[in-house]
Amino acid sequence: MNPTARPEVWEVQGRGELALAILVELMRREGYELTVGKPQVVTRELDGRLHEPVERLSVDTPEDYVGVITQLLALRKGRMEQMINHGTGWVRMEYLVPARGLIGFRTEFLTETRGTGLVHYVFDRWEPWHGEIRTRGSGSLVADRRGRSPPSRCTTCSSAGRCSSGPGRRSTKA
Amino acid sequence: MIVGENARAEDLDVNAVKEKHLTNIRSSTADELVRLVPKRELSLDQALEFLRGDESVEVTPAAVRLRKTVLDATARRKAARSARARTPSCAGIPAGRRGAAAVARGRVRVLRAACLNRRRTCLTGFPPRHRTSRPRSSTMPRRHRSRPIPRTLLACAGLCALLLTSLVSTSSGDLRSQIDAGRSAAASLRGQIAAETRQIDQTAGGLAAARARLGSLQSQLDRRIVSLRSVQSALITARDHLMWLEDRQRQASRALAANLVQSYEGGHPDIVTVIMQSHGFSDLLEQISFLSRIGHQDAGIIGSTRVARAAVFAEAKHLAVLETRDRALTDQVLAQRNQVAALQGALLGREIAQLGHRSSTRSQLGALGSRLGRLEARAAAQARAAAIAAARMNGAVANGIAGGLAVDTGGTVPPPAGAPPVIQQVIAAANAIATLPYIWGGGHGSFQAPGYDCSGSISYALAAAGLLSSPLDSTGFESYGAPGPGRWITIYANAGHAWMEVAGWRFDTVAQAFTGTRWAQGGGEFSGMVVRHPVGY
Repeated sequence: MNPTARPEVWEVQGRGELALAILVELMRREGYELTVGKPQVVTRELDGRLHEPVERLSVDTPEDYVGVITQLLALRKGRMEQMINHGTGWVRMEYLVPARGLIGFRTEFLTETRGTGLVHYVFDRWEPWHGEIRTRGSGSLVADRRGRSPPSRCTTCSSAGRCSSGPGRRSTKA
Repeated sequence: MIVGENARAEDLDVNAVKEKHLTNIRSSTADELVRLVPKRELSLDQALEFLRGDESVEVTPAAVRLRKTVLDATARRKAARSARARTPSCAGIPAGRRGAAAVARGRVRVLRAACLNRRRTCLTGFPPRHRTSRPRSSTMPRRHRSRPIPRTLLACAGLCALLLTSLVSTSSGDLRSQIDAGRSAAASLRGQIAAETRQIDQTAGGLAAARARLGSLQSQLDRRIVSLRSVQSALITARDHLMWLEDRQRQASRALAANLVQSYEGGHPDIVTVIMQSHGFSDLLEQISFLSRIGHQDAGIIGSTRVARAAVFAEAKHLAVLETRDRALTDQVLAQRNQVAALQGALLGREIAQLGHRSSTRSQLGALGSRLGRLEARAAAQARAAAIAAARMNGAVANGIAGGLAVDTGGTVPPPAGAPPVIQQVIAAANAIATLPYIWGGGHGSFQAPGYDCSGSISYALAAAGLLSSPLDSTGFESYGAPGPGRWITIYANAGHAWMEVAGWRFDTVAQAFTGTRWAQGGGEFSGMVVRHPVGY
């Protein structure tokens, strides 16, 4: 845990987003209220250049989902190293992906493969910064004032996108 | 607050709370069919994954909400624009510091620590004001906060900072006032330490009393426990005895019953058979008395057993009462002891805190003392410099135009008594080249030369004493060593010329034109010169 320039803000380093999520959930259950920013990977300065960790990722999936997974990982700047078709309807693929891109990958992967795919990853090496990774193509719907949202507004909002907040929920600005 | 995901790439500010007024219904059929897509409630993990750089998750016991880190839409747009302008590729990622196997990190901002559960220890690493407030139990002594100490510490720190900043200015009046201020600060610190020591002594006294009380309570408790144990063991033996007696009574009554049954069944002699079978009257009497004795004995056994049982039962009851009383007393003493132990713990904590305060104050005093020492040394150096300047003035007046009369005939200078070896080496080296001719650029290619220019001469002398590794030109001397005059050696340099003063002697190639030696006393060019000195001299 590192202090930052602001007294009420700490930087917490852990092993993966899961560890951070567990810490946050524990604190929440202990009655804390806190705000968590986007998890970032720990980077390193090697030979004067910024390096980031790269994970070796192996995927076992039914053939049908190969295209989807390739698309997913291409978005996250993954490089395919190997692809083996066992001929049994299952395909194994190995990728090198920046650890940054894997934040939130597992859920999306499970959704895309309807829960059938298996994915494992392990740290492989440090590589120069791969540039910006945009995993979520969509923007956010931001409530600009506080109050209780009536059902009529939910219809309007959901026409603009997908809602994660429903009618009757108190919307807060502050 | 983020209420949803926009279908397009950019963020969209929506008014999620706008009511549709009841008078806004124009047609009774237009609003009938409404399809509401079910909302997607994000879990904490999903929320963390959903985040973008300028967003954060607000985690409260009641809900997990997504929000923009900057709430105001205008401010947010402005911040985004400036961030885009600032960074080309890796926005917001500080250069890596910890390169361990740690993979991800996040920023946790504790907004408000709400207290829900009562008695709970905190996660470490949060400042006390974020800790869950804990109700003070009445048994715990109220820890009195030693408020004045931090305030005085602050004041001292401020004073030290003041001293530090004022070190930059160098006039002797300032120095003296600084020294006075430092001394008074040191005195106040010392007074503070004494006060803290007194406080610690008081705490220690309280601690000793608490310890004594704890000891006496402990011994009382031990005694209570011993008596409780003995009562318990007595109770156990009494209960054992009771069981045994009950057993015996049961046996006896069983035997009696058996006797009775047997006597009816005719196995045993009764009066009729005794009379029939007796040989003579005396034998008859004897047998009858034997029969009645047997009967008496049986009755006696049962009676005595019954009495004993009653007695033991009463005893056991009494012992049980005794035990409950003893147990209550022991509990009471135990509670007292725990209370005193808690008190002692609190006192110990306070003593540790006080000791910590005192040691920090002491270290501050030490720092202040060393600073004072430095200031005093500086004042002494200034005084010496003033004395030397005065002497030089006198010398210049006495020597008049001859300038450098004190230099001996060989054009050399004797090293002053009490000068450190480095200074003696400098003077010796300077003596060695004092009368060599002035050659422009001499001494710069190599330290060995037939003649030396101004900076070459100084370089030679300083290098001989190990104060310089390679020759410098006069511009180089402008940034040599430390700024300001030195205690023994002072170098005056500008882009065109350099000369130095060693132990009050001027070593200057300009002087050579008049006297034939580089040594001279007094004079020298001061205006437009940068004043430097070798570090430590």
